[in-house]
Amino acid sequence: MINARILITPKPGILDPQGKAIKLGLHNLNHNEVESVVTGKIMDIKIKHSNLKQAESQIKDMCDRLLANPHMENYKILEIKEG
Amino acid sequence: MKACIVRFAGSNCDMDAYHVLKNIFKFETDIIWHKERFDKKYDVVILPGGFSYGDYLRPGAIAKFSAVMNDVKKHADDGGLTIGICNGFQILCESDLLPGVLLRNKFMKFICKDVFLKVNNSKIIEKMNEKSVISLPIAHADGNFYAKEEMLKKIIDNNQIILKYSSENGETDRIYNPNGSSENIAGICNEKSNVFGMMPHPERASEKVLGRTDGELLFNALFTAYGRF
Repeated sequence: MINARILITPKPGILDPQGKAIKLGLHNLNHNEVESVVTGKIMDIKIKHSNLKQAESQIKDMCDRLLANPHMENYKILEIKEG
Repeated sequence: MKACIVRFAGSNCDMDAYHVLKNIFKFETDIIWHKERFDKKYDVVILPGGFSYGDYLRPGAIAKFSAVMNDVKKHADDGGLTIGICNGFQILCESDLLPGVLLRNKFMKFICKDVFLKVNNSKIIEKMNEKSVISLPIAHADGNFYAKEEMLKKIIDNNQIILKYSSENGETDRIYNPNGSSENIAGICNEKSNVFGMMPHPERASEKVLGRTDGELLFNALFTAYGRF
């Protein structure tokens, strides 16, 4: 089994109203030095696979075709390991 | 005339669209479940509003892989009139049948209200007896149309913007924009002008008994200006 953790975040310049709202909340807690907050998604995916390289290219295909929208999001494989 | 309404898991405007096409336009109308396929020739295919797949991941993202979308794409590629309303618009963008994406509304709110819309397309205006501002309801959380600069420029240059949020008099200043969309865009079409997407709901404003008929006007204009009607 291979476990992968993927991070999906909005591309720079794309409006992130959720991040903006959280920033306001932090300012309300007197953390006025907070400049910006960006929200994203983390996905943990388990794949039945024994080959790490093949699993990684499969994960990339999943991200390109479904998990992230290239018009508005970037993705990053944070971790990929057998386990 | 033959019409097809695609019903996804989570569609909730399918019956409204069905009612309008069947009982007001008197079209022979089928509802096709998203897991099914169709090979019938339709004059118009409509992707209705709702929350396909619970809007999970991104609105419309999972619906684009439903089996029926193969036939919707074929219909659109063959030049068939295709209209996506609200969630249907999001599905068309995710499927790359229309350019751009629909982001979360600028102010994080689900907006449900009537808006004025400037019709930005002379063929449609002509078919609406020169009426160029209409009023339709919107109801969405993710209607903030966005396209990268060069893509947006192409959309403008090709006259692909069909509806803009406006005042009652058709002024399209930013203050009339409810969700933050680029260029006040409420609806666009593809380059070939056979695939249309819009956030407003014409199917909810197509009968006098419901208070107004601008939706019927718009549908009729799309059918006669761009369909085989």
